[in-house]
Amino acid sequence: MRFAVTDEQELLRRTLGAFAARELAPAWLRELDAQGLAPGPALLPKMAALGFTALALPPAYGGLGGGAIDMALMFEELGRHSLAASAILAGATGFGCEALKRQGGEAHKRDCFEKLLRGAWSCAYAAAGPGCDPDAGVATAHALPGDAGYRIDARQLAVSGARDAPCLIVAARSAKHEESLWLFAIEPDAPGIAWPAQQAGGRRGASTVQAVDFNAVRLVPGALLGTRDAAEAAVQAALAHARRIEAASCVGCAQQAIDAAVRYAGERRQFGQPIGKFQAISHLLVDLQVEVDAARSLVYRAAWTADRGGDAATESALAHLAASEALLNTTSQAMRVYGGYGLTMEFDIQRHFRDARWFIVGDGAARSQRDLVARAMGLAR
Amino acid sequence: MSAAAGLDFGLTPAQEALRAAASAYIGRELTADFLSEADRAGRAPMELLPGMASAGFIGLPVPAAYGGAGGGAADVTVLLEEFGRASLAIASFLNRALGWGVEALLRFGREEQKESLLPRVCAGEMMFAFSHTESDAGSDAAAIRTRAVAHGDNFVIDGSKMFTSGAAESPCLIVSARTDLSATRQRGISVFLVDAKTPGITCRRIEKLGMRAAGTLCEVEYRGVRVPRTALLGELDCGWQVITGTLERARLAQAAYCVGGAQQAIDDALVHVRERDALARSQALAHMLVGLQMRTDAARLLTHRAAAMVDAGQPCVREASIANLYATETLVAATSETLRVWGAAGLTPGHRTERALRDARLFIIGDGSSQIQRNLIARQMGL
Repeated sequence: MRFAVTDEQELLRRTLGAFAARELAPAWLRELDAQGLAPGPALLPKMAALGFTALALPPAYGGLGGGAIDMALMFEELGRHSLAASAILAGATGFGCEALKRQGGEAHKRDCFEKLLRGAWSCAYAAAGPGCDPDAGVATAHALPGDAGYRIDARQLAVSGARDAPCLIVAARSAKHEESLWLFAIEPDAPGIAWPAQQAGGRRGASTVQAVDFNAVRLVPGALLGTRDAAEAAVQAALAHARRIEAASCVGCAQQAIDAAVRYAGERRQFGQPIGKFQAISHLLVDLQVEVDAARSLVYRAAWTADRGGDAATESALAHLAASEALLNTTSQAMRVYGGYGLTMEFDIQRHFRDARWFIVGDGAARSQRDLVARAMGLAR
Repeated sequence: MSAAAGLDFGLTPAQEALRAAASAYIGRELTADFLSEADRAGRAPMELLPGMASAGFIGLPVPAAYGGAGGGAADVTVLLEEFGRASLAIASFLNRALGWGVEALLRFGREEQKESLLPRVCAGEMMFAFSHTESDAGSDAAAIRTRAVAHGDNFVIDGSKMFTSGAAESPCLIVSARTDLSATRQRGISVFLVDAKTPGITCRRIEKLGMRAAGTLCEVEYRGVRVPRTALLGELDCGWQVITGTLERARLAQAAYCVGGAQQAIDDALVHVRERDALARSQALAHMLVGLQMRTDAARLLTHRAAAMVDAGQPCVREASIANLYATETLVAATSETLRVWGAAGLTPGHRTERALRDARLFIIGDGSSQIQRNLIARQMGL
């Protein structure tokens, strides 16, 4: 086994770091947060200009041809600085991009990826597919007679991503054959799609998920991505891709929270010494670091498995489970180090604490990840 | 990107072959009956050494010049994980032959020491017992009081050591003692290679809860034990380097067999759960096993990360301690949690879970307790 990244990957990290220093200054993030806001889509063209949206696109589409390990490293570094920023980049390069890459028609891909390279394309998605929380609901698709296209109905469909994304990808079960899964690319403001009003405001935090109604939404035949029935594997792979990205972001954020708490524990003095000298504090921080190292290893392994062309569904679920729980635990425990200051808006730990909640419930809740892995282990039949 | 760069979580073909060879040996020699009997009797399975040697396991980390295979820390990790699956005690026994003592000799031994001892290691005729801990020098390892006083070309060792693993059956004891009585703590300590048959050495065997097939655990008295100056391992008064300079390897070895033991506990539980409908339907048990598998996978990766650093010659105090802390605690969790799957059957003598449950307790204590590992990691983190 080898654990060192390549020189190119080191460079990628440094580029990310320089971008973050310029565009994601801690004071600015704090200020936005105080107003109930977070970095918005305006960041995307700037990230695109540095090649972040091109990283994992094939060279045939103007991309850099990077793999899952490159993506993991990029999102880990971005997560160190802002989970909101990593959510924006994930909207552009995450589930939708991967689903399109695998299932989209050539013309459709050229069109979307050209925009993606400019930072002008992103994607919201509704994909209660394999391994996802079954309670989140799945859309039902009816094939209309002749070549008239499709009709989609869904109540309270969980949609991940922003309403202002130019594309919405929906996985839907066929009304006639429940076992077959179809994938559609839809305009988010197509007639019949009812977005909840309360989501209209600015984004705050790590991500958004909203319950959206689909009332007899009509789609042209070209909205179907790929062929009918071929979507199951693509959804599986795209979900695994999205989980690795989220997991990497969690690892980055958790590491940042630990680093900040370690610094604070070295500065803050009580009983005549830095509080980090007390084992009650130092062992707490050590345990967090060990948990984050473990999660990072699992994230890298999942990415490596995906790069080798394997079905990384199980590895990605384990990575997401480990990383999301590690972030949750880190933000919760590191807060103790700060005492009362940890609850104030002057310290970032409270923001991380709020953001961390998303990852154990959204996009494949921790319990669903366990179900997915359990099935792969032949359990909980 | 060159083939030899970047993250890689696979084993090399040679490591796969090593694992297969270990697995075949284990299937042949370490039968359930053999392991039960060795545990019940609490004896060191010395009869295994020639076979382990001829299979090339013991000589794995020894350079070819001394008759070994010249393998690295990552190779040893693969080997010990596989043995840890079968038996934590036998893995630890094997490690006593190929592990700490070999590493100490290679790093600090003089050429003639290496030439005389390492070929015997590779032949399965030699193993080492590390005699350092004392009743008042446990986690505070620098508090030893055993002395070695120079008399001409000899040193005379006097003192009492506690918890020397393998003292009663190992041909060679590696003994730490104070050689400069004016120095304190880490200074003025020397390390000696002592023939176990030297007059003045008496072993009192201590019964223990687990790791019974790993060999004896002894209190060792050294009364006027006379050893030649050539028995010094490393420089005079510089023994602390020998003791601490090889600890990463010892911690890694432990982590490796803990990963194997944890994986086996999970695999055994999986077989049992799948066979029983009521258990197989249980989401609670499934989620528990998933959590353990997640931790075991991570423990394996953390262990290999530290091993890769050892092989690259990089300092890895932090990474070795992280691997050890995480893997040992994972083993303890895996053995106690999978017991729930087995119910009362898992507590009956002869059951692999019952044995692993007892064996696992050593690792959160020995070679640096979990608390000591946390202290070490904390220091590396600047705390």
